[in-house]
Amino acid sequence: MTVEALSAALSAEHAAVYGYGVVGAHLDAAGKAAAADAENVHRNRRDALILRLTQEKANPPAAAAAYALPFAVTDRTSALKLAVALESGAAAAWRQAVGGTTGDDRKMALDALIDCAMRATQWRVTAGITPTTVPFPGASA
Amino acid sequence: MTWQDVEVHNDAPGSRTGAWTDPVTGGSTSRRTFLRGVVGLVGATAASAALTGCGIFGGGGGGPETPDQPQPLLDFLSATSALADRYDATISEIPALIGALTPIRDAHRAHVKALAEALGTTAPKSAPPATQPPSDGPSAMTALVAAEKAARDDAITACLAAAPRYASLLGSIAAARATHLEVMT
Repeated sequence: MTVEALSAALSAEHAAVYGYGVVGAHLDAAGKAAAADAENVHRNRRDALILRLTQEKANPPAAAAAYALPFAVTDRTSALKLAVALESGAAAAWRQAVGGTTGDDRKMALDALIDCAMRATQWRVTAGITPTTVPFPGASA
Repeated sequence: MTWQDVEVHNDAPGSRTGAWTDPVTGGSTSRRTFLRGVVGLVGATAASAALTGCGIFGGGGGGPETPDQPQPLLDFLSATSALADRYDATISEIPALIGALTPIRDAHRAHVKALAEALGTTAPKSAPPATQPPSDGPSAMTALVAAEKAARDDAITACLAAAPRYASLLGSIAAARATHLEVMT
């Protein structure tokens, strides 16, 4: 269970790292800094997951060369919307991982779920999107 | 490549199968379809395992189980209901806070409902809190922030200790409380 749950989380982190490259390109200096910070966090989690899966003798899923974006990203508004989507998508994978792990792995998954949820909220605040919070981060509505 | 189905269905919300939460509504596509998006990279074994989790109440695996009622989670349910009651009392005392606090109160009520369903029990009745909230806005907010922080920490503890079938729900509740603090402070 652990390997499957963490592999799905790794795929989501690969996607987030890719997506933030797109997000940052459309934001002002402060926005770029926030996007770079988020990208860094996702990159660190990605690397930690690769190590963890390697420990488990699993074959960590690789990043795709490119990802189709869920909508066209052409300006600040769509870039912020993508940032929210990236965090929400990663939150969904980590929420699944929370239920599929125990011990330190669950702690890692829970920390990640909380961080993704908080970043999604921060991006919604920045974008002026309401509501800024959701009752069940990572869960289907 | 893995998000292609998302792109294809982007303009057709009724048939959307994509990986993305809609940031405008805060609504999300199902976790199953999200994973359908990303597990393309993982392989069939991982995909089938990832897809067994279901619903917001489940712990992310296994078939239907008869809910038992572990005491710590029953206590957690009562505390969650009491937290929602504190918001109700504060809103009633200071109507100016209704806009800021109602969505958070509603989230706590949603948590009560989901926990009660997961535990196979009935939601506790709403009741006035034992202590009256402060009557001025700043003090009331300070008190609620402290309560929310403690509740977030309790949810983290509960999540880490819980049986797998409850862990995802408790994790979402912990994350929700963290986001409440994000907008309250």
